[in-house]
Amino acid sequence: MRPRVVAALALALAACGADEAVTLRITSWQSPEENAIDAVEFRSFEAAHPGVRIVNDPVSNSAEYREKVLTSIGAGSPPDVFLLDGIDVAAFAARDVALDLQPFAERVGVLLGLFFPQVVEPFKVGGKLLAFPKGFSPMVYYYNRALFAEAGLAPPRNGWTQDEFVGAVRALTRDTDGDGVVDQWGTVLDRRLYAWQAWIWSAGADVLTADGARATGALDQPAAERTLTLLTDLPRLGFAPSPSTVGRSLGYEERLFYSGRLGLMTSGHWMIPRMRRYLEQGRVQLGVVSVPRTPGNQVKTPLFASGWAVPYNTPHRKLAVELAAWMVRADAQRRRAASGLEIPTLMTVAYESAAKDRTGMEMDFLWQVPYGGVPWGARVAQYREVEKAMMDLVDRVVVDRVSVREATREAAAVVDRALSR
Amino acid sequence: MTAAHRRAAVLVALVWAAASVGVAWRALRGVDRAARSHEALAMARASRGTAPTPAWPGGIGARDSMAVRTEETPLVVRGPAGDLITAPVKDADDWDVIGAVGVAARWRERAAAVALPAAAALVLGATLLLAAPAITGGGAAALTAGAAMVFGAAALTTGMRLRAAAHALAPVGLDASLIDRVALREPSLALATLALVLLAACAAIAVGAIRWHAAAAGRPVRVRETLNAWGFIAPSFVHLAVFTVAPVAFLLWISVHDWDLLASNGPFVGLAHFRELGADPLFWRALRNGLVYALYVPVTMVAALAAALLLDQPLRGIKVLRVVVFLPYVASTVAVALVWQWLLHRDFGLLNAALAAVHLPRVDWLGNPSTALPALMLVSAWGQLGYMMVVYLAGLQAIPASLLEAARLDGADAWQRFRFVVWPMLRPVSTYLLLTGIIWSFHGFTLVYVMTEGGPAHATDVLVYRIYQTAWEFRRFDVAAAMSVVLCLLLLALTALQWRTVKGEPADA
Repeated sequence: MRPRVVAALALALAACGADEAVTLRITSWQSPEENAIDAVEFRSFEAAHPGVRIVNDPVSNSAEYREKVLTSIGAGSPPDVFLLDGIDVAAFAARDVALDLQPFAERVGVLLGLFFPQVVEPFKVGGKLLAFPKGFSPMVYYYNRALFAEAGLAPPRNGWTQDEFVGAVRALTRDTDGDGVVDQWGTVLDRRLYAWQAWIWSAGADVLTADGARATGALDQPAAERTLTLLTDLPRLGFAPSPSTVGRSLGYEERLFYSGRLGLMTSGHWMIPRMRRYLEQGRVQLGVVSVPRTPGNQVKTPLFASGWAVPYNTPHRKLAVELAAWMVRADAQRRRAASGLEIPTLMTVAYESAAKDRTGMEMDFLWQVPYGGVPWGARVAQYREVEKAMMDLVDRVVVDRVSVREATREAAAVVDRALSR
Repeated sequence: MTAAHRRAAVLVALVWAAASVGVAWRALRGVDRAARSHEALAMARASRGTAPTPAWPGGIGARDSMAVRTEETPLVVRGPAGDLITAPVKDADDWDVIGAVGVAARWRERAAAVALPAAAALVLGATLLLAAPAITGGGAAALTAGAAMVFGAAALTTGMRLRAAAHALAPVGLDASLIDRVALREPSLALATLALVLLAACAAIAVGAIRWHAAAAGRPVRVRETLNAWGFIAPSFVHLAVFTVAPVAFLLWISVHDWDLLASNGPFVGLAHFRELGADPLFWRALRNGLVYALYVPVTMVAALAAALLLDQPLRGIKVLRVVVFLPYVASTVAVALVWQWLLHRDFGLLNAALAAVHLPRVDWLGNPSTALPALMLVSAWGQLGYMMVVYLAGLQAIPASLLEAARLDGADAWQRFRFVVWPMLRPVSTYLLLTGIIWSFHGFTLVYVMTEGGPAHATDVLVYRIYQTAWEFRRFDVAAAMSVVLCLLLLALTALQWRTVKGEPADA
């Protein structure tokens, strides 16, 4: 039988020419604009790999995106490459569904030493690398330079303190038309944890204990409670409009900011593309500054990154890893950086991009990187429940008017239960 | 037993024999197909790390594109001794192709794969044909025994198939222990047993049906009609069983197990998830919000009845007005939600602009816990008004004019005609609208999802939104299933109430 097998195999393998196309499926939660940028990379990958076709299969809803990816991997029909959000790393790691890319990184030309180490870190779990990071952003405050000048304030500087912040928002809050109603606010309070995590960190506190096992013992500590009191007092004192539950659809706070009715607003780099036309039209002059800290503590901000990952059971492992690597190479990152979507994860590309920026904002963004921390989502699989409990915490104080102390204890108990499962 | 019954028994026997032949054919095909698909790949993957043999020097198929293609669609080479299946062999990292393996069944196994099931089919077919004239409980036993033979044969050929594959791998120098691992991957015996039980049950039902029908020939026409009726509804019954009953049963199963998308064999936990719900204040809040939210239904009904009475006039352009009132019902709920979000906006909303115009304070309709749920109820009422109005219109137009005329002749004024004639005649319509409306209100999701996300401070958190969030955001499908069971029971109770109410209506209503 052996000669027959040898001959047949040799013939068959030889006959297997380049006619049959391999289809690689890639998925993400990205917007149509981002997909358009990535399409350039897909076409160049196809050109470099004859016989390979890439089909992009994006999912618009990020919550359903996670489940869709997990379900398809579990069902044995995974995408070949998927975008992994840094805050979902722990959830994916707990299910062990992403391929460890560490052994392949050098083979496909991904030299991890060229990346910001702070951005690679969230994707490392138990010695495995679950994705090649493609872009990231720290949380920062955008400030309206014109409003600062009108209020006679000097532009804030990175590393400023909570007291300086309060002074600024007090001066920026105004009734500009004299009708007795405030129509220009110093800042805005965003209920979501990702928006105020940096505040807690920069006060030397945290929302979870160092091992990520509990909230009790961290969230209910005086430093965290003091910072939460300051934050939740902002709307009560009139320095911020009351937090909106409809912000997701309407972008209310952003509109206030664009229209010059808000002095300071916390967000990430992803806001740049939406603001770009206002900046170019000169309708708004912006600066970027770190989240305020308390004296004696260093600035610390979460670095929200995403990266391209490969399911462990992709039928095209090698090509999939090559595609993931292709999507993070310097050219691809340059193109995305040009659109203003995110900060490149390759250090040289990031500094190259910042050098071209004439607003100075990119350098301020890069200033934050050494002070970046790994978001809890990269370490805690139940992060979505933690996030929700933290939003409820803010609502309890701002909407239900309970004390910060009571609200933090309630939220800590909810989080403890979730983390103990 | 009549000739018709004998024919039916023969038909069952023939179908059975055909199924057996099909099983035999599949067993034969399975030798190739199984090797061609997963098992060949599994063998190839299991063989990683083995050194290339003299027969298979490393490097065959090492080109990227070829490796990928071979992996995706293993090559099939036709030969006189059967099909040869090939798949790549990769290095220890499952990265580069270092060779290939071939898998083929030997002719002896192939022959056995045909012969055993075929013999079983023949024995069974013969048994049935012989037993058909006087088919009895013994016939059912024969059927079961026959099925056991068929499946036993299929299982046997599966084992042979794997042994054949192992033989085929041996010549290319693969580690025998790895081949053992492959052999462990036999198709589940439980699956074969389940198939056997199902098939035996089908056969028993068929035999039982024939016998029952034979005995029923002497029974009243009504009984035979009942049998025929069951025959007619059988397709719908099967559809319901597969697409409704089975999912509900699965939901119940999930609700009492620790279940996850990727770990679907979690342990049985009894009522633990239900106890967790009982201790969860947010669950109770969502339930309470749902009950309050349902109050929009009777309010809308009153408005819809008023609109129907107004629009039930023979006026010029009345149809256009009816269409205008009905339009929100057919509009996209997401679009409706977004528009209302703007209308209710605290700063830029039309509603607050109107309040400001008359020097009333602005209200944060969706941001205030005391107004958010009423605001959603208002939007729901606006959306449902047209539908309810149309149903009421139909009810109004079905009231015999003679009744109203008689009331008029008896001196009843407009209110009395409504109170004593129109309203009683509309009771069935009102009952229908009330109960179906309440049931549907518990399904309300889109408005909450788009407009408030359950906020502020859970003021608009309703059960369906909570189920969504628990399942899809928190990835706790088991707890979400428990919530769904509670919701299901609640809606069942409402449906039962509807049935009782409708049954209690006067026949002429």
